[in-house]
Amino acid sequence: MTSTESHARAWQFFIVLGLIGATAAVWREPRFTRPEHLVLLSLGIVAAAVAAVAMHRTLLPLVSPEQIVGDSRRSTRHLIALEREKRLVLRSIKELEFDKAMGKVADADFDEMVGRLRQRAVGLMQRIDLGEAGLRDRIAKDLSGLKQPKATRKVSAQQCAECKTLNDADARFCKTCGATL
Amino acid sequence: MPALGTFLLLTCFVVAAYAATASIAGAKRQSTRLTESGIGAFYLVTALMSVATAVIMYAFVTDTYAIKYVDRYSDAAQPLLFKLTAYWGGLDGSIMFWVLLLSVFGAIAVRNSRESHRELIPYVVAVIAIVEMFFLFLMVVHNNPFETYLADIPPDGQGLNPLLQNVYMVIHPPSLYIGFVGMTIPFAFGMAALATGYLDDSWLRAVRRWTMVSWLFLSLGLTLGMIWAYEELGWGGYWGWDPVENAGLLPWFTATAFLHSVMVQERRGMLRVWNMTLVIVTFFLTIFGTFMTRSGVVQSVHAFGEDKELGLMFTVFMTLLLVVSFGLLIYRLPLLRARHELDSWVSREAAFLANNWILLFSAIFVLFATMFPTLSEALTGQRLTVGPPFFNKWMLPIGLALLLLTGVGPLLAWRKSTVDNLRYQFLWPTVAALVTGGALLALGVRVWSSGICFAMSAFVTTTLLQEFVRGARVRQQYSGSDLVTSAIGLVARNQRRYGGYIVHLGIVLMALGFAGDGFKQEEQLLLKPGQTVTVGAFTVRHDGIAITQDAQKQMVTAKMTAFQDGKELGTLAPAKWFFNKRADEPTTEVAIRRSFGYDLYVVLAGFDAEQQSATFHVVVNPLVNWIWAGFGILALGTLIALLPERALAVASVKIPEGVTAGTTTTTLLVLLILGGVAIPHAVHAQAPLSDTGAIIKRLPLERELENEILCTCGCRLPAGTCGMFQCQGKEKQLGRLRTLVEEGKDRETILATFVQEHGGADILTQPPDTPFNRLAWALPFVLGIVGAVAAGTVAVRWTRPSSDDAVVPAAAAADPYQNKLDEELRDLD
Repeated sequence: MTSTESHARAWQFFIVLGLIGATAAVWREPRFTRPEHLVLLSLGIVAAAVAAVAMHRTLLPLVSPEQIVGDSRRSTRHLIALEREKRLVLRSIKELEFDKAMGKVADADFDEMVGRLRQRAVGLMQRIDLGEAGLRDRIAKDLSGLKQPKATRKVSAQQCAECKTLNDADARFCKTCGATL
Repeated sequence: MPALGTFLLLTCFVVAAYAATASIAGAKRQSTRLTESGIGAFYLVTALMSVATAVIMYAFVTDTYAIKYVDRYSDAAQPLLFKLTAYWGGLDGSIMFWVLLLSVFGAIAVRNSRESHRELIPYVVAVIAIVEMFFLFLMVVHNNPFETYLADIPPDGQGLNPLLQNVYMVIHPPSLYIGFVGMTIPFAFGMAALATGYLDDSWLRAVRRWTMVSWLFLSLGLTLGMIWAYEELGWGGYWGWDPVENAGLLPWFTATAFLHSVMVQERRGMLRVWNMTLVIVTFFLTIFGTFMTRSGVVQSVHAFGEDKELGLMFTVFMTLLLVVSFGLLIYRLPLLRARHELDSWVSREAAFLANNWILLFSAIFVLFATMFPTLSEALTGQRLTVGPPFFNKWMLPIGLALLLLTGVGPLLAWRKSTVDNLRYQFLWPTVAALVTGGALLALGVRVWSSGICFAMSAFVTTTLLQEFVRGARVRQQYSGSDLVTSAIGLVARNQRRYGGYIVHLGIVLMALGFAGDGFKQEEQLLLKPGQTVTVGAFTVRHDGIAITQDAQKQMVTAKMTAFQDGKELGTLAPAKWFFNKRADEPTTEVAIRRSFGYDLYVVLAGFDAEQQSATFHVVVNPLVNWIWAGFGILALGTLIALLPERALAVASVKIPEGVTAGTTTTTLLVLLILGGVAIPHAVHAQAPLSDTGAIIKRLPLERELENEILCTCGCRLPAGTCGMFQCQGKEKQLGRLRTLVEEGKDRETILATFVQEHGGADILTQPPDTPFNRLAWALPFVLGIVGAVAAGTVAVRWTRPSSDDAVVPAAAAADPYQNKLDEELRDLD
C-alpha cells in the first residue's frame, strides 16, 4: 500500500508545485494581463505540472521491483470466458423466447433452435463445473502450436514454487531455497 | 515561446517512441516494469501535448505574429473565440490538434481498460504511440506549427478565412476529428488482439463504446458540416459531394457496417475476420481522408493546397499500415476461424450481411468516384470532374435500399423466419407504405424518388412502432405493469437494440429531409425597393439596402419582408460581409426563415447601392429542418445505446414518470412524420402568383444544364449552385449557356461546345461518355455485383444442411443441468 501512498504524494506535490508556479507567473506577468492570457498561462503551467506527474509515473516503475501478474488470475480467465459464453447462450435463449412471443419465429423452428441452444448451455455449465480447461487454454495451446519452431523461447524469469524467489529462466534449482524448479 | 513549442513536439516524438518500445519489449519479456513505464510515457505524451497546445493558444491570444502559423490564421481584430479556434484552422495546427486528441483518447482508453484487458494494453499503447509518432514526425520535419519568421515580423496577422469565422466551424472540425481519431482506438485494440492472439470477443467489448462514441461524433461532424454549408455558403444545398465531405463519409459507412456486424459476432460468433477487416478499413479510411485533404491529390474547396512531400509521407505510412495490419490478420487467420452457421436466408444475420454489403458498396463507390478524376488524369491524361449530379444519380437507389433494410432488418428474427411470421410481421408496415404511396400518387406527387422515399419512411416508421408496441405488450405479460412502463422496461432491458431503433428513426427523418430536396423551388430575382415577388407559398418584398461597418468588416444588408399566404412572417436580412483583409472574397450571410415544412432561404446575390436595387437568389427548401431534427433523434438513440446497462434499468424502476415522456416523444414523432407526408402536395400545388418584381426567366433546358456545367471560380460546384458573390466564373458560364440555349442548340451540342471551349471535359459535372469513362459508370455496378455474389456465396456456404436438425435430441430431459438452466434463465431477466 505504501507505493500507492507515495504515488498520491508525488501527484499532490507536483500539482501544488504547478499551482504555485501558475500563481507566481500570473503575479509576475507584466505585459499581457487580459483574463484569457492569464488563464492560458496558468493552464499551461498546470499542464506542465501534469507532465511532471506523468514523468514520475514513467520513471517510477523502472526502479521498483518486478511484479508478478498473479497466476490465479490467468487460470480463472478461461473460466470467466466460459461464463461469458454461457451468458451469451442464455441471452440468446431469452431473445429467442422474446422473438417467439413477438411472433417472429415459428414453433417448430423455435423448439429446434432452443433445443440446440440449451444443449450448448448445458455443455458449458458442465465444463464450468468441472473447471475444465476451456477457451483460454485452447487459445494458449493454439498459440504454442503456432510458435512450435521457436519452442526454446527465452523467459526472462521463473518463480520458485516454494519461496517465490525469481530465478533465471534456465535455472534448474532455486537460488534461495534450493528447491527443484 | 516558439522554441519551447518545437522542443515540446520533439520531446513528444521521443517519448512516444519510448512508450511504443518499452511496452512492446515489456510485453515480450513479461516485465511489468517496462510495460508500466511505457504506459506512464504514454500519459506523458498527453501531458506534453497539452502543454504545447497551451503554448500555441497563448501565442494566438498574445498575437505573437513571429510564429508563421499565428500570422496566417489570426489578426488583432479577430474575436477571442476565433483566435482560440484558429488553432485548428490551418494544416499544421490541425495535425497538432489531431495528436492532442489522439493522445487524450488513448490515455482515457488505456486507463479504462488497464485492468480488464491487461494482456492487450501494451500493444494498444504501442499502436497508438506509433500513430502519434507518424503525425509528430510530420510536424517536426515538415509542418511545424511553431515555425517562425527569421526577419520582418509582420505587425498584424493575415486573419482567419472569414468563411471559417462561424460558430459551426468552431465545432465542426473538432467533432469530425474526434470521430476520426476515435476510430484509432478500436483499431489499436484490434491490432493488440491480433498481436497477442487473444482473439475471443473481449477486445470487441473494449471497443464497442469507443466505436459508438466516434460514430456519433462523426455523424455530428458531418451534420454540422451540412448546416455550415447550408448557412454559410449560400447555394441553397447542404451536401456538395466535395472530396473532403466524402472523406468524412467513407469511414462513416464502414463504421456503421462495423456497428451492425459486431452484433452478429456477439450473438452468433460469426464474421470475426470480417469485423477485424472493417476495423482496419475504417481506420485506414480516416488516415486516407486526412491524406486527401492535406496532400492536394484531389481538387477540393477544402484542400489545404498541393503538397507532394506530405503526400509521399502519407503514402508510405498508409502502405505500411495496410501491409502490417492485413499481414497480422492473415497470420492469425487460423485463430479466427469461427463456427459459421446460417439457419435461413430469411433471418437477421442475412439482413446484416445485406446491410454490410450495401454500406461497403457505398463506401467503395464514393471512394472510387472521388478518386476517378485523379485516376483518369493519371491514366489517360484527361482531366475530368465527378460532381454532385453523378453522385446523386448513383447514391439515390443505394440510399433507398439502405432505408428499406432499416425497416426490414428489425422484423426478421435471428436465425430463421417462416412465411407465417413474415406475413404477421410485414402486414402493417407494408400497408402503411402502400397507403402512403397511394396517397402521394393520388395527390399528384410526381417526383418518383421522393415518393418512394416517403413510402419507405412510412414502412420503416411503422416497423419501429410495431416493434415498440408489440415488445411492450410481450413485456407486459411478463411484468404485469402497464404498457408505458413496459415500454421503458423494454428499452432499459435491451437499450442497445431499442437505442438502435431510435437511431433508425432518426435516419428516417433525415431521409425525409433529403427527399424534400426533390420539391425544391428556386428563382433569381431582381428587385427595386418596394417590389414584391412570389416564390412557392412565399412572397418577399425588398425594402432597401443598408451599409454598416465594424472593426473587422463592412456589411451590406438587404432589408426584406416575407409573407406567407398574405400574412406577414417578419423581416429577412440577407447580407454580404466584406472583411477588411479579404475584401475580394465577401462572405454570404444567408437569411433563412425556418419552419416545420419549408425553409425560405434568401441570398443577396448582387446589389446596386445607389439605386437600392438588388438581385436575390430565393430558394424554398421543403423539409430541410427534418435533417437536423433527425440528427437529434439519432444522437438520442446513440446515447441510449451508450448508457451503462444498469443506469437505465434503475431509472425505469424508480422514476416511471420518465417513461411517459419517452413514449410521448415517440408519439409526437410519429405524428410529425404522418403530418410531414402530406406536405409535398402543398408544395406542388402552389405556383408563383402575381409578380411585380422581375423573376429572371430561365428556360427548362437552361435550368437543367446549369447543373451539368461547372462554375469556373474554383468553388467546384455546378454553375447553377455557386453561391459566390458577383462570381465571374458563374456569370460567364451562365451567360454563355443562355446564348447557346437561345440559339436553339440541343443538350448534346451545348455540352460539346462547353467542352470544346474550355479545352477539357472537366468543365462538365459528370464524366462524358467515352470508353475509359464508361469505367466510371460500369465499375460500381461490377463491384456491387461482385460484392453481392461474394455475400451470397458466403451465405450459401454457411447455410446449415437441414438434415442434421433431427440429431438434436431432447434426450437429456432428466439432466439436473436442465433444471439449473431453467433457474438461471428465470433469474436472467
